[in-house]
Amino acid sequence: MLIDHKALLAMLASELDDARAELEMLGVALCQDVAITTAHVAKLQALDHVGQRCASVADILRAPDIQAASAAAPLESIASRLEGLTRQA
Amino acid sequence: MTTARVLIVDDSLTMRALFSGVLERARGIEVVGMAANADEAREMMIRLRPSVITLDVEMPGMSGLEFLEEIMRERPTPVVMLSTLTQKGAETSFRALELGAIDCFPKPKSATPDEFNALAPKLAALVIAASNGGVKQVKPIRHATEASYDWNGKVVAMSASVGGVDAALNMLPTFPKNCPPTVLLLQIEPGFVDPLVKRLKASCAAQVALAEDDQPLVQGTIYLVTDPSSHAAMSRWPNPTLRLLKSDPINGARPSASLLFATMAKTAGANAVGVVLTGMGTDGAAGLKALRAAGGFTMAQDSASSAVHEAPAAACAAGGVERELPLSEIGVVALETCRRIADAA
Repeated sequence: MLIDHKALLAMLASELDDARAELEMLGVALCQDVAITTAHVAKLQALDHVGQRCASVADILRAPDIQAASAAAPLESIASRLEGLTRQA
Repeated sequence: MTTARVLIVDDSLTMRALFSGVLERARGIEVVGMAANADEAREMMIRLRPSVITLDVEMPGMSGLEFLEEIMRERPTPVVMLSTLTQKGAETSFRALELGAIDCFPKPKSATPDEFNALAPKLAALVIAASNGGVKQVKPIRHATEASYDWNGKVVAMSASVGGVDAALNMLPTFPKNCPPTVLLLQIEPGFVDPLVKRLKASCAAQVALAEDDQPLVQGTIYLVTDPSSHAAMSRWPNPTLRLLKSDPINGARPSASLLFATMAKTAGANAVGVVLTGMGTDGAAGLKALRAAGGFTMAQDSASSAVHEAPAAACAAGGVERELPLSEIGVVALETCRRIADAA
């Protein structure tokens, strides 16, 4: 069965959106124990950062021009990976 | 802590007996007298020197509001108003706060001992706090004078309970139209929410909205978190979003200020300003400490300007407060912290 390329990318983007939402709610649940927040705030912020990466990749997957969207990605991690790929090419 | 000496003023014999019963059973409270009207109360105030008065809003002859005005003018004493939670009752309660009442406590719908016993702990705590806190200073409401405001992207969250309505009505109208996104978590009776929103909308330059789930926090809007059936949490950064969560109370509080501040610590960190305003209990203290540890800027309302200083004092004791300030300065400092500093020429 062939799946339309655009629909596939949209499905993957949607999956990343769901993952981000779950990560966010996990972070909020952990904050209900304020002692955890105080002791592990950097790790909780890392959860949010993973969520941002999910959102950023989802935006790229949904973009009409994936190459251009990748180049314009606001996250440094994506920009540096793209630069590495460009150098290899 | 000295014993709170209470004078109960209510025209209903049943109400006097029920209120007296629940207050007498509370530790730290002595009911020194009960008056059926303003004339009796006037005489008892001179003779018994109560440290706090509970006053019925609706009384025959001189109304509760008229008598409150007289008390504040002639013999300033902390007053807790007891009112019904009808629309009219809520409006009257707001007038009472403007006249100097410490807070308004809702009368139970039916005068049964069970209903009174359920309210007892909250009423007792309020009476003790009012007695310890002294008479409220009534100041005219100031309005925003700044036409434009250059926002640096930081967000503000504040929490309050007893005295919070007053604090909100005094501080928020000073916020400019394009103020930072500001969340105010208020522990108030649900019947007071609509009149509060109405008054804030009429007096604030910024937009005023009741918090909703999955709501993006935007510049120029003040969000009120008042729903006692859900918590509020800040999620996502950048582009912060408010989430409302149906989960159990945290240390007896829902919505929990500590959860709101803790989620701000996680999402916004150094881009957050957290404030514990006037109120009872300890909710907010632990969360504010977490926010401060995450680099956020934290404040608490000082004792002199708080109707009740328990919550700000708990936040200070927990080590969560960077600056303790009077209400009149908290809004100014919050706005300055969220202002973009112009580049030097």
